[in-house]
Amino acid sequence: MTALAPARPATRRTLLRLHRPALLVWTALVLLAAGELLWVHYSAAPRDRGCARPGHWCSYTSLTDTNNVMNALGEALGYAPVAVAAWSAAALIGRELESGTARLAWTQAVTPARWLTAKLTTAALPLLTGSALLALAFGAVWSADKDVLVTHWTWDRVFVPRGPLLPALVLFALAAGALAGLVLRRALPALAVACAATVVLRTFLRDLWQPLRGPLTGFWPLHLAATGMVLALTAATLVAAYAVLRRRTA
Amino acid sequence: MSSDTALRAEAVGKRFGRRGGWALRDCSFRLPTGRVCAVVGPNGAGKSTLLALAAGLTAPTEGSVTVLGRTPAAARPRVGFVAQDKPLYPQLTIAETLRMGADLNPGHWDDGHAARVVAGGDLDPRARVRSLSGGQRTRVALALALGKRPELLLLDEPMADLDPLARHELMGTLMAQAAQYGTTIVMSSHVVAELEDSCDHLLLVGDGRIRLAGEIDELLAAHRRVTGAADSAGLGAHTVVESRVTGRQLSALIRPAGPLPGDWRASAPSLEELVLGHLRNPGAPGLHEGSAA
Repeated sequence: MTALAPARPATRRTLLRLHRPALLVWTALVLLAAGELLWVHYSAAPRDRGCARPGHWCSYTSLTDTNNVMNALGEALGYAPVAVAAWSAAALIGRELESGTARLAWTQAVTPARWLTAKLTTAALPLLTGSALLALAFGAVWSADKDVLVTHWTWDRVFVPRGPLLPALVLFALAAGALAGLVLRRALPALAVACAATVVLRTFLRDLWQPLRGPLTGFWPLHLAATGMVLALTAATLVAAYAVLRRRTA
Repeated sequence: MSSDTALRAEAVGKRFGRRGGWALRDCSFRLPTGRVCAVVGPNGAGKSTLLALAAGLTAPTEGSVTVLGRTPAAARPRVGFVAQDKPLYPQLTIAETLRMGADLNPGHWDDGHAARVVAGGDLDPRARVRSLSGGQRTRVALALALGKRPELLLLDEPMADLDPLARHELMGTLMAQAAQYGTTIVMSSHVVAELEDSCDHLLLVGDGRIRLAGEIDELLAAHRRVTGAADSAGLGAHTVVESRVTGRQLSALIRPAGPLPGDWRASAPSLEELVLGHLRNPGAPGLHEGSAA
């Protein structure tokens, strides 16, 4: 009888090797967005303040207009979770089940549940770090440079990326992608469903805080309430994903 | 459970979907350790389902599967599995694929052995999996399964896309593995000839049921191919698997229950005749642990 190996499989190293391109793309996007925010704060906003003084004037293109850039960044960050859902559903889970490589992993010494946990945590770590960083930076820049922006915190493109709601949505997208991939077992249908679910949630958020406005006033109470709701949905999605996996495998 | 049983199925049934048909039904058999077992049956008979159940990839709808005395899930570290379509990560190189095997099977990975299986095919470890031919992929998939030093090796149609030379060579690797380490090997195929020389145990699956199960020698010895005059009686006492009348001559595949009448000419059937006889006649009583007296 061979003794069962006490060592735990180094699943994470394998996953990093498999998803290295995705990690590089995500890192590049985070750096790009962070760079834009730094540019707004340290270059564009001071320039606009200078231009606003009597006797000064500046000319802009749409790419250098502070307001345009902040609006575009807000929209891009707000819909970044949809891209995460697409990746999670298609590349992280759905493709593995469609091509059978999931079965390859499950017939090593890794149980399916541990495989899913490794996938989710390996993906969640950079996703959470990056999105939290961007949310912090966006919030700081927006608050500091409000004076040169035509903006209001109730706007979607400000409300979503300005705090913990953004990482929460990214986490939900990851979970929704995993669930869709496990249920549908094919990359493209899973991608479509996970994106749709994330867009619906993202759109529904716009209306969520309307009725809440009575009891909850101001940005933070509303933002934190929305974050809590998204996290609760994420937890439910994860429970469903593990249940589907357990039902399907021995 | 005794450790001399590699694989045991007890009244196993598997149905896909709540309203789907049964892929397997009422399957019971026992495979002793150290055997090289052929799982034979037509396409869609349930061979892949049977192997997936043993590998712990799907759970049975009813009954139970025991692998090396444990549940399939608990036996996972000691079981190697190669699926029919030989799934591998196309973006990894062969070396990275083997490193994955080492990472995912800590404590029982034999790097040298896996590398030798790959080297046997004259493959460059730096080649990406997506650039490999079907046969080369099979070799890498086998290297991954053999590298974990399994006690039970489950292979679903392993030789389907190999040329005769590679088939012979890889079969040799498998037989050496079985002889040297006592590995139990279960391989499915719908080509009987492919398995005849190398296997000593047979599981014949037809229509989701086990038709024959046991040592090939014993199964062959239990059957006779007989010919005689069509009008002479005398087969009634025996189990007739298949009988055919050509002109005035009757030939039949039977399981004798006692001595045969003297006017019948009897010969030993080949494995292929035995398998085809049972597959052509689904109504004929099967022979396995449950049915053998």
